[in-house]
Amino acid sequence: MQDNNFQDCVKCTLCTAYCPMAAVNPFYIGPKQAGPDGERYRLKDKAFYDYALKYCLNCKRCESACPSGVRIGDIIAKAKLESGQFRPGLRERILANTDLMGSLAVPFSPIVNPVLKLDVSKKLMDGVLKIDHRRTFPAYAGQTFKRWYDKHAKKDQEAFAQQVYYFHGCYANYNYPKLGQDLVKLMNACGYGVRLLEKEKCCGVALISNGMGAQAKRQAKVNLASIRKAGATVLTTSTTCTMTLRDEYPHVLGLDNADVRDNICLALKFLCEKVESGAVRLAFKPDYQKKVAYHTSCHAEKQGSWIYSLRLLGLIPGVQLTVMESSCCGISGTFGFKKENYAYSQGIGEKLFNNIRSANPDYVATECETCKWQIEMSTGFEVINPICLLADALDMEATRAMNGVR
Amino acid sequence: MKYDEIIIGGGLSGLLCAISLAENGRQCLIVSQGQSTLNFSSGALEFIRTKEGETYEQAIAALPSDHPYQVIGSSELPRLREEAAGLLRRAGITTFCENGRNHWRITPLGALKQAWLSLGEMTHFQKEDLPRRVLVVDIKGYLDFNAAFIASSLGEMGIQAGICELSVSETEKLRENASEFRSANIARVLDGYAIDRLAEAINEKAADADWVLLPAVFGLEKEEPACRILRKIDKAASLIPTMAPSVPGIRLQRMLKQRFLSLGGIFVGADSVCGGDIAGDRLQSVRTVNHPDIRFEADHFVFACGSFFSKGLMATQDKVYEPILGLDVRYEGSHGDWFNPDVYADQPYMSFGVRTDRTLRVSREGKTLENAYAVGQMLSGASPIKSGCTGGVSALSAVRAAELILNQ
Ligand SMILES: Cc1cc2nc3c(=O)[nH]c(=O)nc-3n(C[C@H](O)[C@H](O)[C@H](O)COP(=O)(O)OP(=O)(O)OC[C@H]3O[C@@H](n4cnc5c(N)ncnc54)[C@H](O)[C@@H]3O)c2cc1C
Ligand code: SF4
Ligand code: SF4
Repeated sequence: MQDNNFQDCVKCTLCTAYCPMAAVNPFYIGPKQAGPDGERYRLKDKAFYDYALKYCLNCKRCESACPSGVRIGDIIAKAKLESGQFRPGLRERILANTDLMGSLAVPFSPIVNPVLKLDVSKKLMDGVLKIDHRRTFPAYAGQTFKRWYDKHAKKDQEAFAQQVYYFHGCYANYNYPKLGQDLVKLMNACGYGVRLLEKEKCCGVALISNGMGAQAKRQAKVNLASIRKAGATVLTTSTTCTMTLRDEYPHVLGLDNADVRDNICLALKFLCEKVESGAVRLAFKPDYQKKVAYHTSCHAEKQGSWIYSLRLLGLIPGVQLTVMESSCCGISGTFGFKKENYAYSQGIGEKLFNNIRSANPDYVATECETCKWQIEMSTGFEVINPICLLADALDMEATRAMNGVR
Repeated sequence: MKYDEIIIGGGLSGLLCAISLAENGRQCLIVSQGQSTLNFSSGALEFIRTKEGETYEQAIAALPSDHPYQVIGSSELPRLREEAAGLLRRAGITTFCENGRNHWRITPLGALKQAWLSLGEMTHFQKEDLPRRVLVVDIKGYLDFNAAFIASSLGEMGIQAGICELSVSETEKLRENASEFRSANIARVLDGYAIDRLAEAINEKAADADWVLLPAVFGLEKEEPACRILRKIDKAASLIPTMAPSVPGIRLQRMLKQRFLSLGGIFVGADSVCGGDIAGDRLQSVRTVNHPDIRFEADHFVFACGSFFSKGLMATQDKVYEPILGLDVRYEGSHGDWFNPDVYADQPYMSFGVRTDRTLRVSREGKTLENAYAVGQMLSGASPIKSGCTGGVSALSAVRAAELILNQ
C-alpha cells in the first residue's frame, strides 16, 4: 500500500489544465486545489474544500498528467470518504446500491423497463429524486447473468483442462448478461472453463463516489475473501471494476490486496497475452465487416489496458478501426444521472461525441458500461464491449477446433 | 508484446524521434509517465546562443567535446535542424526560423533572449527591426503575466512601452470562478467572439503603437485562436509566454501527440518503465509499472526520459543515477559541488546525464548496448544556461537517433 504523496506536488497546475471537470464547471476548484493543496488544509480541518469534492469524476486524468506522480484522484476520493460531511441521501443510496436495485428490478424487468422509460416516471424521478429526466436508464435484463450461468453454462465448465474465474460485476449481471455469456463462450472456445466466485458483491465504485465508505469496505472484504479463496486468475470485463478491485481497495479504502492483486485481470489482457504467446489461437468469420471507433475510457487510460483491446481488435481482418482521441465521456458512473450535473456531464462529453459522429462507425467499442450508456444516449451510435465484438467476429467452431476443444 | 521501436518518454525528444520513425513506417510505442517539460516551455526552441557576429558553426566549435552537438558531429547539425523543423511543420505547427541564424524573443520578464525556432504567434525579430512604440496588453486580474515589468524592461532598451489592462465578459466571469485564474483556463474561454471583442478593445487603445504584445493565452487545443487574435488586431502583434503552464507548450505537446497517433503510433501516457531485460549487448524488452508481467519487446529502444525534473535522472546525496536500468551516467564530485550558489549561473548538475557513444547508444557497466539510444535532456554534456541549447539538443538528438535506427 502506498502513502498519500501530496507533498510531491510542485504546484505546476498541469493537473487542472487537463481536468475535464475544471474545463466546464465554474464551481469546481480543480484537482490541484481539491487534491494536494486541500490535503494540507485538511490536516487541520477534515471538511476543508469539502463542497467542491463532489464534482470530481474520479476519472484520474489529472494523475495521468501530473509530472510528479501525485495520486491526486486517490487523495480526493479519500478526502470525500473521510470528511464526514458528504451525506448520501435517498438518491445516492438508490444510484449507488447497484446490487440491491438490480436484484429488485430484474424479476420485474418487463414492468420496470417500460416504466423507467415513461415520461411521467422520468418527471417523477427528476422532481422527487433529482435524477435528470433527460437520462435514459439502462434497461434491466429479464434474467441475471448468474441465473443464466447456473442454468445453462455451469455444468459444462468442469470439462475444461484449464480454469479461470469471472468477476462479472453488476452491469453484466443485471443489465447486460450477453457480455458475460459472450465471455464464457469465448473462453470456452479458447479452451478455458469459467467459474464464478463463491460470493460476489458490487465492486463498490458507486458507493465510494457517493460517500458510502463503510458499505464499500464491507463489500470489498467479501470480494477479496472470495478472490483469495479462488486462488486463481479472476477475469473481469469492466475497466472500472478492475481498477476498483486492484487499485481503489488499497489506495482509497485502505484494504491490503497485495497477495491477490495480480490475479485480478481484465479478460482482454488475459486473452491478448495468450494469443501473442501462441497459447491460444483465434479464427475469424471470413465475411465479418465492421467499421469500429474505439473509445479509451478514463479507467482504461489510467490502467493502460486499452493497448490489449487495440491489439485484439486489430486481429479481426474485417474490422476497420479508428481510435478516438482519449477524452472523458462525462458520465462518471452515477455522477451524470444527478440533475445538477447533467449539463456538465454533456459538456465534458461533447468533444468525444463530435469525434464519434465524424467517424460514423457501425460500433463504438469500449470496455466501460457507463460510457456505453452515455455515448448511446448522446450520439445514438451503438456501443459494444470488445469482448462482444470478438465473440461476434469469431468463427467459434473453427476457434474451438484450433484450440483442441471438443 | 513486440513493436519495431519503443520510446521511453513522450516529451519533445521522444515524440520527435517516434514521429520520425513512424513517418518511415515503423510501428512505435511511446510510454510516458506524466506530462513533459514541453508544457512549461516558452513556445520557442533554442539551438545555441551566439555572440554578436558569431555564426552557429563558430559557437558550436567552442563547445566542450562531450557536448551532445560535438558527440553527434557538427557537420550533421544543419541537416538535423532542417529535418526537425520539417517534422514540426508536417505536424501542422506554424513555426518561424531563419536559415543559419538566431532571432530574438521576449521572455516573461521582458528580457531579450535568442531562439532558433519559435511558434509563429510568439515574438520573433532581429534587434535592428525592433519597433519603437509598443503597447503591452494585460488581462485584468491575471497574475502570471506582468505587463508593467515587461514595459519597464523594454523602456530600459529605449523603447517607448505603454501598458493597458483589458477584460472581456468571459474573462470577468472566469475570475469569479472557484478555480484558479491561470493561463489554460483563460485560453479555454478566449475563443471566437470573445477574441473579436478583445481585439476591438485593443484596437481602441493601440492607435499610437506600432507593435502590440499580449500574454500567450490563446489556443489551447489548436492554433486558430492565436492566429485569430493576431489577425484581428490592426497593428503588428505577437504573444509573450506567461508563467507556467504554457498554453503554446500544451498545444505543441498535443499537436505532436496527435501527429504521432495519426501515423498509427501507440502512446501510453500514464505508465512508467521500471526495468528491462538485457541479454549480451542487447536490450531485449522493458517492463512497466502498470503491466509488470508483460515484456515489451522491440528491435530498438530510445531513452527520452528528460532530466531531474522528469525523473529521467535521479540523485541521492552521493550519486546521480539513471533509474530504469542504471545506465552509465556522467557526474562529478558529490552533492556539495553540484550547485552554484549564484542561481543565474550555469549549474554543474545541469550537464550531468547519460553517457553515449557517437551514435547516441547508451552503455551499462562500460558495455555499450547495441540497440538502445538516449536523446534529449537526459544526455550528459549540455550546459543549457551557459550555451543556450536546451530545445535544440532535445530536437536534434531525437532526429539523429531516428536516422541512425532507420539506417541500420
Ligand atoms: C520549466 C521548464 C521550462 C523550459 N522551457 C524551455 C524553453 O522555453 N525552450 C527550450 O528550448 N527549452 C525549455 N526547457 C527545456 C526542455 O527541457 C527541453 O526543451 C525539452 O522540451 C525537453 O524534452 P525532453 O523530451 O528531452 O525531456 P522532457 O520534456 O523532460 O520529457 C521526458 C518525458 O519522459 C517521461 N519519463 C521519464 N522517466 C520515465 C519512465 N521511467 N517511464 C516513462 N516515462 C518516463 C517524463 O514523464 C516526461 O514526460 C524547459 C525546461 C523546463 C523544466
Ligand atoms: S500536476 Fe501534479 S505537481 Fe502539478 S500541480 Fe497538479 S498535483 Fe501538483
Ligand atoms: S479525477 Fe478527473 S475530475 Fe477528478 S480532479 Fe482528477 S481530472 Fe478532475
